[in-house]
Amino acid sequence: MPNEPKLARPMVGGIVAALIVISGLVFFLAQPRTPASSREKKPTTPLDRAPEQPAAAARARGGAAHAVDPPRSVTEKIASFFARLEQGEIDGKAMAEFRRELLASDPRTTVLAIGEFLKSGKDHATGESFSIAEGGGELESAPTFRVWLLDVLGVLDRTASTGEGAALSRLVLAVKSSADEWALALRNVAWAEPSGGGFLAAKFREMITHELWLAKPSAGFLEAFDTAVFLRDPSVMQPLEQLGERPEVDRAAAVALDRLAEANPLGVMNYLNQNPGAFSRRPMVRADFFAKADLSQPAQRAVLEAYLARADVLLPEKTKLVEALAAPGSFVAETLFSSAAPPVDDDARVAAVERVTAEWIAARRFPELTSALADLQRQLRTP
Amino acid sequence: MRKTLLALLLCSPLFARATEFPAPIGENTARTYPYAMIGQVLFNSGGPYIATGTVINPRSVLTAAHALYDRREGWSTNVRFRRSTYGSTYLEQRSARRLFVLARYQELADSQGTASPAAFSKDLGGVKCRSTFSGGSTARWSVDTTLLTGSAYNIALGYGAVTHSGDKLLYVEPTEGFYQSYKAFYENDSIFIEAGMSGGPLFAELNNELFVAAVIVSGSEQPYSGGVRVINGAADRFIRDYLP
Repeated sequence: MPNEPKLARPMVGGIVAALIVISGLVFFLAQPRTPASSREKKPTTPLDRAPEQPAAAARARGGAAHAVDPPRSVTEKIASFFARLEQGEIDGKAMAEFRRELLASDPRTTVLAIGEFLKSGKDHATGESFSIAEGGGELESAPTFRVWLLDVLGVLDRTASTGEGAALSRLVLAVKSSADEWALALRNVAWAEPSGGGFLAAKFREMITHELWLAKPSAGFLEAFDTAVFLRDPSVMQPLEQLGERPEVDRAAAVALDRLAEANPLGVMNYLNQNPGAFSRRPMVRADFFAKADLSQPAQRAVLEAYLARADVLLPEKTKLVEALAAPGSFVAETLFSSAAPPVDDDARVAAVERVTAEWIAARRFPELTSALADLQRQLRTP
Repeated sequence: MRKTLLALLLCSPLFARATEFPAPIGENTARTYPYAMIGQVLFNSGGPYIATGTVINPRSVLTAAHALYDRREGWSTNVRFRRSTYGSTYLEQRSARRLFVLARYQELADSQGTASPAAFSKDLGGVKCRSTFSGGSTARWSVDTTLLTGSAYNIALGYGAVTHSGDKLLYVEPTEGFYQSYKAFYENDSIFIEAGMSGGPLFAELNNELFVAAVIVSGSEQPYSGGVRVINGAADRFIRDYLP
């Protein structure tokens, strides 16, 4: 008997928390959205897309937070600021000042107040663009108040670690109402749940294949491509490879794929060897992915050698790889998710390339590439 | 009647905009600072190509992104920089050790097509070379974009290889200011940019010195126009962090 309450309380508490979260979700989804100039129309049947496990996520973070009312002051400040935004009284400078004020306030209360506002469904255009701040990670400006709040929410919750930011972001990811909101929601979940790759990968695939967003890609939609780099998951290469209709989407995919190959060279090379059809239409780009190999690492060297031994890979592609080893390229970007490529120890990389290619030549490992390998060695020695 | 008269006036040569065309700057000038910091960027991208670059730091060259990356061919290979090329001579050559492209996702929008050479046409590229350039001189850069839009003296330079041979440094001086066309991409309708000049500097004068204020990235003939990627805060950080 003394043990009974110990067992019962968590069960009852969990059920109550789940009910509260589920009712919050139903309330969130049922709210009418205030039309704003930069918002897209909601899909006509949003309720058929349920979040993966928002209630579970909230529980895991001790998320009975939905049931707690934030102090009126923060809630009222947000409501008052929003009213002034609707009246056209707010400019970029005022947004920046209010952002500083919110970030300096108690994170837990502010996160709850932001959550309350987001659940209201209200929104208004800010007149600003979707712009990433210097150094990446955070926004400098946002096109709508909701996107702006989602950014503040993620930044606050990164330090407060309440789990509430991720839980609210999962609610946003349950309905395809705005690509810009999805970009911030993906980032917030990524920050709060670094191991939640499965959920993020699924949502990322949903996002980049959503016809409405693909047809008119917003800045946030394009920035969200860096989710692939954050995930370091080679399986997202397949949907990214197949996005080729719109030039800006194709180019964003190119940057994301190249950065992904740099972030996880071994995983990407293994994926490409295991899926011979992948990038067969862009063989020179595939060669570039292999050129990111660190030849001082035995596993990476072995996978690269397996690629060079492939019969389905033609000589021009292999030659391109050898040439690219002399001076590989990197895309540099300040992004929502991932940091820039780490500094490369060029001397160590070049030394490894010289040593390994000399071994290949001496062992006549890849005879059809002898000339290209000799050229590479010459090139590595010239100033 | 008044409409007809107005139309005739608008079409008359009095209202035609004068376009400045690139011309050789001369070997003597090409070999003096800061022009001597400019050189040919030679590279392979499904075939041999020429672009232009500027020594921006002791072992690095600033150029256009599309000289270094193409959506179909991937990263360029066999990238070399020949500083102060003029005619059949150049002062020194350096080989690339690393290539960098500053490509922010959202700035990839408003492109002109993947099959077009204009893909990545609004981005910056950088070449980190195997060794430093002799003498230690480098061009200086400025993040003051008003140097392009105001009344400061501007001069665009590069190795045009269509109506010119591609081995002489060409220059063209805008007669009016640049205007912001899309984010960091600025245009000027008073100049024509010849293919091969891509990656070359747009020098702007400040306190009697010339600074790289932008990099040539595109040109158009219908109508005549030249496009540059300005050196803004992101470009400044790109140069400082990746191009030593």
